[in-house]
Amino acid sequence: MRPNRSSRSAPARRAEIFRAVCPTMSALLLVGGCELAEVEIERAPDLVVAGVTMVLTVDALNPSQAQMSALALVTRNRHQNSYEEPGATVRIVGESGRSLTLSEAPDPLSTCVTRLSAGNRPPVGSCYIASAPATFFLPGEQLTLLVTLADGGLLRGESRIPGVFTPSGLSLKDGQCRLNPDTSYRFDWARPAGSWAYIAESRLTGLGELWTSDEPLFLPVTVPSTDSTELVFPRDFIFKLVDLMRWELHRVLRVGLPAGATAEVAVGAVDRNWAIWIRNGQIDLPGEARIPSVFGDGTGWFGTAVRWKVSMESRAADPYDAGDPLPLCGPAA
Amino acid sequence: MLSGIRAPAVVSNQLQGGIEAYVGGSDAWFVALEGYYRSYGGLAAQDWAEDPNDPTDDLMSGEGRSYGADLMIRRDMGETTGWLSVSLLKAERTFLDTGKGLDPAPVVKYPPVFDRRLDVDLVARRQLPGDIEGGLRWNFGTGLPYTRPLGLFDIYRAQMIDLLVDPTYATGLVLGPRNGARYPVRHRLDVTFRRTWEKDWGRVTPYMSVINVYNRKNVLFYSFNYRPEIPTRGGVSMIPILPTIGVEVSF
Repeated sequence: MRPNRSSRSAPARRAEIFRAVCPTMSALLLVGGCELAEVEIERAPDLVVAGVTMVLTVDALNPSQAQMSALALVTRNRHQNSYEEPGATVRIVGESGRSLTLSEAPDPLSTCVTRLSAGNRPPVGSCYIASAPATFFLPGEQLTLLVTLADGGLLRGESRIPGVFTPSGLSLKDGQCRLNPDTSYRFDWARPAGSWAYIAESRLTGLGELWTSDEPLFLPVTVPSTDSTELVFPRDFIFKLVDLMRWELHRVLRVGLPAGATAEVAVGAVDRNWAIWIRNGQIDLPGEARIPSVFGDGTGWFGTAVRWKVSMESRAADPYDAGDPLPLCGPAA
Repeated sequence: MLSGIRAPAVVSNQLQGGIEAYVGGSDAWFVALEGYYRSYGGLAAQDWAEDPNDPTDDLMSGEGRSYGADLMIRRDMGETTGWLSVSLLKAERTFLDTGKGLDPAPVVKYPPVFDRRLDVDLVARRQLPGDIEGGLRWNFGTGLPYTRPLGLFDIYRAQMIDLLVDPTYATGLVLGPRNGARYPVRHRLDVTFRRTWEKDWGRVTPYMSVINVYNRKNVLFYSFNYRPEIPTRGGVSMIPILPTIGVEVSF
């Protein structure tokens, strides 16, 4: 009687083992051999980063009513930690020779930062702010930013304020209008001079079960060209709402605002500096190389914009009240 | 890439000359020496600060030049054959440096990523005892240029709706001079042994080869980690020592 043997022959078993071991060994060899040992390198030098915006807010119906506001967040990066940069002098000087000096905010987090949501770590830096009447600087005016640090370092940038633009055919009362439920509205406007892109943002509340967060639904959209001069609200604002689990929210907002919802919508035309800073730059392994517009003893960006802002609420007109307090924003898109 | 209104056309002027000769007894050696100078116009590179409203500025036009010399010494006769080639190269590109953000953009000159200043190849073949054919190749090259990251910082978004700083952030990167750093020199030795048996029906040639015999960790690319307290540099090397065996069969 032959001894009990496996159904596979010895050469076949050896071949199987070889087939299993050989690729594993090769993979280990390749992976192990391809890693370079980590070596310590010198620390990066201190880097001051200034993010400065100067925005002219115009009334959507009457652009002569306007307000300028400036904000600068100045951060010192040392050994990969971020620190405030107090005691700096931040000035914006126009071609007219007028100079606006920004004041240091004592509590940057409450003064200069939007509400922190869970999971967001607060920005670090010193905040400098100022506001001015609309006539302080004029649309189209070239502005020069000068940041003098407490240690004497100087940062400098230049920007030209885009031209004024307002929405066409929009009916408002005190900056507010009404949308019929489940309908969209098309904002359109004439292209402003000197702008490179539009940034539009909306903040929605009253969405009921569609959005149960304590915070309003924030929907930003960037239009990387000023040739396109219209946006359909809310349909064109939901591209960044990528949470596929919220398909019902997507479905509803593609059609319009549900009854009872309210929205703030701001549309801004931004200058070259703002447009190229927010755009993805060269991507390297550790991060992105954005294109700066602040130079000297640091880096950063100095952007200017012209914007308007409206509030909308979604509800049907009261058939028994001929004098509805809010006008219909306009015809449905 | 097709040239047109959105992409420049490359125009190159080239000057090249050389001498070559067979030398030694029975003309056993072949020697060639060439030199060249090339200039280029209309080279294309991405414009990182392109105006989104201008479809014609996505690519920008630049200039370049390169010059160098190539030496080849080859022996095709005798027990030991092979060649030695030595290449010297210097290449340069000149473009507007739109990534700097300045308006108008300054001009930057930099070495392109293939600017290997010295490249040496030594290849030898020799019949060894037992009808074994031995071969080796040793390659040496000076380091290629790369742009080194110098540090990181947080980028915060400016909100348009309330004109405040949004705490969501991206990681910004400070880059050093364009292609201003170089990888270390690379060198590698490969060896091969082959033995051929002639059969009635064809030819069988078992072989064994070892790539990168002395397991030199030639750098493919570096990665920089600036997050720790003391930043580090790691990376990935090219192929490590890799022995292979095989059989070639021809019939």
